[in-house]
Amino acid sequence: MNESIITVENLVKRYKDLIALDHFNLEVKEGEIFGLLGPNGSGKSTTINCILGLLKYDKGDIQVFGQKMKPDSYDLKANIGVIMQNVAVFKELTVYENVDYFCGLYIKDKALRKQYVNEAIDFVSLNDFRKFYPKKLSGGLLRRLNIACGIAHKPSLIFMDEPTVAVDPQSRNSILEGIQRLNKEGATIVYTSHYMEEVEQICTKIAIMDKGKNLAIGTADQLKAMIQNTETVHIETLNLSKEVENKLSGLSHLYKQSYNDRILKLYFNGGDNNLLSTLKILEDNHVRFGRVYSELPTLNDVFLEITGTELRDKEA
Amino acid sequence: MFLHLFKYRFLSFVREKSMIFWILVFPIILGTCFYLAFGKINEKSENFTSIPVAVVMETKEDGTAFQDFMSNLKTKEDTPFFKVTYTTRKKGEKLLKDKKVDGLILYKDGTPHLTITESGYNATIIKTVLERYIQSAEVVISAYKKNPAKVPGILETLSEGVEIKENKLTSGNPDNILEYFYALIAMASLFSSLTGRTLAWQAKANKSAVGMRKTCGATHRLTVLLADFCASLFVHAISSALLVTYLLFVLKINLGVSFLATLAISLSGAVIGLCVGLIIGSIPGLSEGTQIGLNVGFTLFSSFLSGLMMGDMKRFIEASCPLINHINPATLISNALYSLNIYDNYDRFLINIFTMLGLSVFLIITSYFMTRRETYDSL
Ligand SMILES: Nc1ncnc2c1ncn2[C@@H]1O[C@H](COP(=O)(O)OP(=O)(O)OP(=O)(O)O)[C@@H](O)[C@H]1O
Ligand SMILES: [Mg+2]
Repeated sequence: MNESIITVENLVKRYKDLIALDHFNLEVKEGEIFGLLGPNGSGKSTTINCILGLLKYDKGDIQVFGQKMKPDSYDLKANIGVIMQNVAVFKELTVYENVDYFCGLYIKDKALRKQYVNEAIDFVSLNDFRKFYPKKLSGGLLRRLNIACGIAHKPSLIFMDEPTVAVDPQSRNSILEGIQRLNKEGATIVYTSHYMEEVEQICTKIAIMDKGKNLAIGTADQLKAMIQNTETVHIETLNLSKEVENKLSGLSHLYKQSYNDRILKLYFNGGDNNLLSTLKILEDNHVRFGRVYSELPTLNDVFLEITGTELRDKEA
Repeated sequence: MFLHLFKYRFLSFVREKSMIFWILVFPIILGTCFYLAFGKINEKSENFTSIPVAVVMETKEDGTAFQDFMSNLKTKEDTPFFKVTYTTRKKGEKLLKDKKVDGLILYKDGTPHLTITESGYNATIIKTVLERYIQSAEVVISAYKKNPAKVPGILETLSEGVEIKENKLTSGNPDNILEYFYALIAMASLFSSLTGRTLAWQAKANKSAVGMRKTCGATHRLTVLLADFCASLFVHAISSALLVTYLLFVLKINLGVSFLATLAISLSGAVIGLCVGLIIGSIPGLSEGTQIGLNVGFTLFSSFLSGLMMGDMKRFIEASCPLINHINPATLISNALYSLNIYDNYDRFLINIFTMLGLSVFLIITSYFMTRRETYDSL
């Protein structure tokens, strides 16, 4: 099978009293787009910075390409591309100059570098902005420049720490497609985000983390299969009486229900006609309702079942 | 590789406007202010104008010898030393009080007595000339009595004495005002600490995102640091050259030191400044704003101690706490310029340069150990 490119075993990282990573384990194999999914403060950036050798850690073992990462592991670093959570560019250099500068930390050959830089700028569609200084770029364009600076040297392992924050949906899609393209061309990618839709869309493997722990690992489908939820029914309705709520709780396969802010949510762990049977009860009791929809399990449901809190609630 | 890194760092430094302000624009403005404030004194020493004096003759003897002496005394350029007004004692005192004249000479019983209100360049000249006159009065008077035509020759030797006195200490420019300009050059080169600080900040993963990205790069850390360092030194070479050109050739200030020597000393100062900046930039726990404040504060204070605001500062410190003069970077820089200007041998200059060199080595090592870390407890 595919070789493992990163292994993290029992990683513990403390910031003074705060335990940011608590016996964290991880294995990333060649060719994967590995998603680290977790709410703010769950330890995603800390994990990446430990792997990159930027952070000291208290305990555990990390191997990249089968070796321990040290400050002077320049051979290892040559194969790694990094897109940090914070935009890392020189504000006095133009788009082209920035990409060229950082690419120059890896690629010595001038002609080759020129080609790579142009390809990277193409990749993030910043061709019209080559001569722009970063402060003239919008937030989204700046993020794209940040990405170009990290991948221009065509690394075989790329870390992306929330690269799509503040990027509009259109550019986000083009970035996500780009990431998949990089992956097809052979790059292994470690991708962190708290947007589960994104992670679900591109990641071939996902680790769900919270409070410095790795809660579950698998493909999106595997993760969803781990939980009992098969369907969630959402119904918008005013003034639902306790009596009707009680009647609803008798539905078969229903394992949980909630009624908040005019939204009734019914959680099922099986069954085929859950929506129809629900609507029948409401009609029989003359309950008026608005929007109705049924949802297959999402990664949020996975997160909810494992941790008891919603991933969404914590989004910025 | 090195050139590539060098080129972009150079570009990024010269495009940083606030930095250019501190290392070039501010020194030029301050230099222009100094020039305007001290301009007159500067002109006087270059281009002598006759000194106005009031003379009161209260003598029963014949005073024509003295009067001739006063009006015939001339500089080499044939400018009379004095513009003499003969008057009464009362009017003379008023002239002095109103600063219409720089000295009041009362000629009584064959001897001139001088009254001045302030000490200064002109007062010194009057005093010196009169002292000479008194010393040689007998010679002059008897010569005058024998043959008045010979007197101009004697006067020439007398006035030569005065001129020699002004210049005999040095072949350089002894004007005290220069201390201000030396301190100014020192300040400009020490502002390199700002570039040094930026450099450290942008090299460290725990300080900046750029630092993180650079730390992840596949180029040896020392190569990157060295390229950064050389690029900022190059920026300072250019800005020093511009500043010195401005002082020497636009304001036409006689620094007493050649262009290249001034540039070399200024660059050695910039090395010290860069290292200090690297160290400031590596102090943990300080925000960027605090660091910049510390940086500007260090530069201004160091230059203040070297005489940027008061030309006498160094002498004052020499009397109270001489150690400061031996380690304060700005003082070392300005003293290096001073000693090149004033002393005809290189002893003092060499001592200065070697102290600077020693200080640089110490600072380079310190800053290297402070910036070289790559793995942090917290980012
Ligand atoms: N330098 C630091 N000093 C102290 N605590 C820190 C530091 N950096 C991070 N933390 C804490 O460690 C925990 C993990 O932080 P981390 O930045 O890894 O989270 P994250 O998953 O990347 O979050 P986000 O989605 O907001 O980027 C958080 O509780 C955070 O407050
Ligand atoms: Mg993060």
